[in-house]
Amino acid sequence: MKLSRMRQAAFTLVEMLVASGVFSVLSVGIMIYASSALRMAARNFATNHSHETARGSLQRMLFDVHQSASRFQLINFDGTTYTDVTAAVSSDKDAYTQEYISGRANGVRFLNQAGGPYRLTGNGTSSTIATTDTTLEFDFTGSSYTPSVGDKLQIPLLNREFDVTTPAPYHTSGGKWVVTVSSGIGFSIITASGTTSSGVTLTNPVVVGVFYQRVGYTVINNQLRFHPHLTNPPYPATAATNDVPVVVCRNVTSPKPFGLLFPSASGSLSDATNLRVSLESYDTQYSSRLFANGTTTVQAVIPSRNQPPILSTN
Amino acid sequence: MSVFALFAVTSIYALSQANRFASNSRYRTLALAAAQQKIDQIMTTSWSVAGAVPAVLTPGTTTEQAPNISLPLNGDPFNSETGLSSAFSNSDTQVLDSRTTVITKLTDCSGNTGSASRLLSATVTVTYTYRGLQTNLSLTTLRSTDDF
Repeated sequence: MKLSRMRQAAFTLVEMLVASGVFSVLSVGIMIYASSALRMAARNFATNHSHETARGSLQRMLFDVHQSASRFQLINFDGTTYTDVTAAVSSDKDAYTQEYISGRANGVRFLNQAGGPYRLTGNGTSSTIATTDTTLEFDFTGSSYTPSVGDKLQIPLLNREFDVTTPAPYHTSGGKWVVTVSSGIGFSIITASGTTSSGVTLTNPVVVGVFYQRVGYTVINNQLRFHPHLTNPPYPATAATNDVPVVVCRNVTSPKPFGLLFPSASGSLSDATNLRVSLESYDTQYSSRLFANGTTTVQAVIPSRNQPPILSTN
Repeated sequence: MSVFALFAVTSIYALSQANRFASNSRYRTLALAAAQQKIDQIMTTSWSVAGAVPAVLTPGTTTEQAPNISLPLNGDPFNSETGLSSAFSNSDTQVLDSRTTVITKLTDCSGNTGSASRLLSATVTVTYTYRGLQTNLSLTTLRSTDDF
């Protein structure tokens, strides 16, 4: 038997050690890079999400609250029951207005214009309306709004507002609906050509009314919700069947963002015409790390569009 | 190795820039809210022809800034109070801003000028500095009396 003396190709120990070292360094570099890149990308997403929540919430609230036609009423909502909150002044001074903040709540309600102006067409049976009439017929043709019990009606000609009460508004003909208001309107009105009770002849007179609905915002379960048909007071009350909230934004982490402002720390009166919002948001999907720059807190003081003395009661 | 290092450095820099842009966008939104609040105050303060000009509408320049007034742009110190805080309330990075309001009387439709004018312009500028970069945001509006 002849032994083979062929030389076999192989790496030396030194070559292997050098290669392993280079591979280790490269691997560690890739790991560090991947870790850093993922962390920075995740922070970017988290920042963007909290910013998106703040921006979306602010834009939506500016739009709705600016249209408010009433004073603001703070409410607390526990997911089932609404409770009115009596705003009491605290020692906290709002930096941007230099006024004092009330105790905070997780909800607020106010009246928003729902539709109008609509033409007044009579009392449901006649085109002439008597001072004691409590039924009023309006022409809603072309509008998507339907009046309901609990809404407010303002008639600019009379400079008065009325509560829409039971029985529920009912349809008469075409786009016309009859609403029942809480008290006689106090004036005699003709809605078609004719002569008034005081002897004035009018041709095609136009009297209009504007309707307002009770709406609100609540924060619960990290969601900012808009209530387009907020349950009617008195509170405490459970949510009505038509009170279906719309989720405006998620990731809202401040439990009670709403407050009112008082001119002095000892004041007992707030005109309730400015809503203070301090909305904190955080990407809760990224919450385990609590990184230092991940929260967005937007502070806003938003006034109602109408100011006294033409504000509605809420 | 060099190619990898170049790629890593470039992409990390790009991600850092993206984070910086994200934070800056956020502060810009918050600054907009601060400016909007002053504009709202100017627009809704009662101003009657028969009455005196309210303080908030007095012509001139008003600056709100530290140390007289501390305006937190991101964060509300009161949100740390019991019942108001969340697990994230102390994760804010505070940035203070300054707010300057310039009220100028204009010639109104009756030709009145100066103190007799019933028309004014208001410019609100919010200034803040984030990572060495100073940012200004301005809103402007016109305001007249409630009645004529």
